[in-house]
Amino acid sequence: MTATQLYPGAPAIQTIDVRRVYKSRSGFTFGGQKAGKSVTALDGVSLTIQKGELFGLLGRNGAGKTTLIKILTTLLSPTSGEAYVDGLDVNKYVIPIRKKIAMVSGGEQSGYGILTVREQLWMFAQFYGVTSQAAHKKIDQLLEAVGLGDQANQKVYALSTGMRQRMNLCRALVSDPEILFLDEPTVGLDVEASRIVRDYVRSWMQEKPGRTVLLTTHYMFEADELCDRVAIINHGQIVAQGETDDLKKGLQEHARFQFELSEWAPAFEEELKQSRGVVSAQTMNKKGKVSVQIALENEEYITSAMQTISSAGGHVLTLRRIEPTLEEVFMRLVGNSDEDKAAGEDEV
Amino acid sequence: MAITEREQRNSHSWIHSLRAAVWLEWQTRGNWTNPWLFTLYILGKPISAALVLVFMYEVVSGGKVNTMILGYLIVGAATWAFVDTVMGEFPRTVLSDREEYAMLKYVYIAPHRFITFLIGRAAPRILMAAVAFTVTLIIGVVFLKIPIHIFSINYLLLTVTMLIGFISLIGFGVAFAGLALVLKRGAWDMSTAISGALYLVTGAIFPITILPGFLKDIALVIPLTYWIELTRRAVLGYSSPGMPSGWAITLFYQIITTILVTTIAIIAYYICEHFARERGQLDRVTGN
Ligand SMILES: Nc1ncnc2c1ncn2[C@@H]1O[C@H](COP(=O)(O)OP(=O)(O)OP(=O)(O)O)[C@@H](O)[C@H]1O
Ligand SMILES: [Mg+2]
Repeated sequence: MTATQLYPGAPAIQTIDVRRVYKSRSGFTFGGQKAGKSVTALDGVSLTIQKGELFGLLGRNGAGKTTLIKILTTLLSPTSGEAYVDGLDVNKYVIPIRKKIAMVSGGEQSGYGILTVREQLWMFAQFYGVTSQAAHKKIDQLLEAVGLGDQANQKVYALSTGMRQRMNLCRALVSDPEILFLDEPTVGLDVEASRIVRDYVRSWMQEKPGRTVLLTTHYMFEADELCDRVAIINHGQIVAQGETDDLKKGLQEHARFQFELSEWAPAFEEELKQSRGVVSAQTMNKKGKVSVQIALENEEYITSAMQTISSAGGHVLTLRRIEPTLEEVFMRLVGNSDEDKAAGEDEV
Repeated sequence: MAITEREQRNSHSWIHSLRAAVWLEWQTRGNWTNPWLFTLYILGKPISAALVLVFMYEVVSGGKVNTMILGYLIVGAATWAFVDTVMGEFPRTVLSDREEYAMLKYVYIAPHRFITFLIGRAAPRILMAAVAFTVTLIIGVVFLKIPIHIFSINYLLLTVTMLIGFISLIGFGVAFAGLALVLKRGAWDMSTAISGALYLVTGAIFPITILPGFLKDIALVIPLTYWIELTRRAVLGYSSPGMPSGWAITLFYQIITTILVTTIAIIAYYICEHFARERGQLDRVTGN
């Protein structure tokens, strides 16, 4: 394959100003002409993901994440712009790209029900030209790793949704891809299964240098835990990207702390607000426990804030620094949405 | 080590894919738990279709049955079993794998030509159709006394025309699969409708001489016409009205039209695939 060697140092994934517009009217609809409504799913997405990165793509429902993955996995063509996988144009080098990639979409009931788990995985290994012997060895190892060792000879139709999803991960990995696309790989999995999947993805990355993962998720802690870098996409546009720590630091204008107090007096909050370096103070009474959250211009002001409390007669039980979370970054950037809240809070 | 394995993979991939697709079809469609039901499933439709024709002919001819015409009908109907069984499998694979199993996208993004997979899925049906073909002919000989003599069948011609016939079936099937990719609904109906039209036009049940002029012209550019005709000649030993008299020239026409139609069909398939990818229909579950 000469094409695959054309760009030795190419990034794993690169998109330049990719746009994707869905037209809702199909050209083959017979009879009544529906009005051609169009949805811009991607609106000029430019991203570069280097080999060896575990990259997270975050965004609300309908932000365009799956659309981007479909374009990169040669399932969908971009309306305009350029997209490259390992330096290969998705419009031109379809087969060479397919040799390098695999995809898993979470939350779907896919599978040839009549086959056993092993048979289905074996078949996919065949599609990628893996020899039967190598495939069976690999299948055993993968199933064991995701906790499906006992299900190897079970029919696919008899698997639970979460088991199917883990089998799907194995299906993607059985061909030993270089670039893996994971579209919400842990949605619908139980706590332990999600952990197994996350751990496995991480160890898979470490097994061989240069392996790349593009992951979408609605679980911010998952992105935070797994990803080296993330991009946040909103209405088809990238609104932020970078290392998770940098994004959080970018958000943090003030040092934030939380005190837990033995008892409460209205004076505390007032006194604190007057204290030097305090930007804001807020008292909270949750389940009978009183706490005060303060934002400081600078973390050095914490000592004087503590003194203010004790001189007002307060007794501090605990003191905790509040680190900004990825979720806050996300909320700040893409605003609030009821659906996201539900999705994001499920497992936190 | 890793590199050599990867390179080795690249060269053998399509054979692996074809084999795996054949195997998948065998696993998913065959009702192996009940061999009787399965036999009925393979034989039921072609044999009853042949018998309906024979019955109609007997009614129309008022009982004065000509065994040569009976032979014409039976061989035509038997050959049609291939068309009926194999051609529809292509769009059916697209629809079932997309809508029922939701696996089409994963199969599609594997590094093979999707056509290879489709051909593999349809291949076992050639075997099923061959069984139906043979059994229909045997019924014709035993019960209807049609003039077939085992030792005078031209097996070489039969084999050659069948093999070329299968290629044209793949051509039609692939084009229907392309349609199934882009048509949300109705791909299945369309392939049934077209196959029904072909049944009438290709001389399967009556000579093309009774067709109106333009339909006759159409019949002469469809490879199935020559395939059915050559099968008749190989099996029965006589030719049908409206067809070239020599077998060699008929075979030549079969080859030419097969190349033509299959090329057009594959181009049509790729055009459809292009549209499907452009519109995002490859993983769309239409829910009909
Ligand atoms: N096949 C399609 N036809 C028409 N519009 C579509 C199609 N697929 C997606 N869209 C639209 O494109 C936009 C982006 O969808 P996409 O599936 O990429 O979002 P997403 O970020 O993956 O969302 P989610 O988090 O819900 O999975 C949405 O507005 C969606 O309605
Ligand atoms: Mg999505």
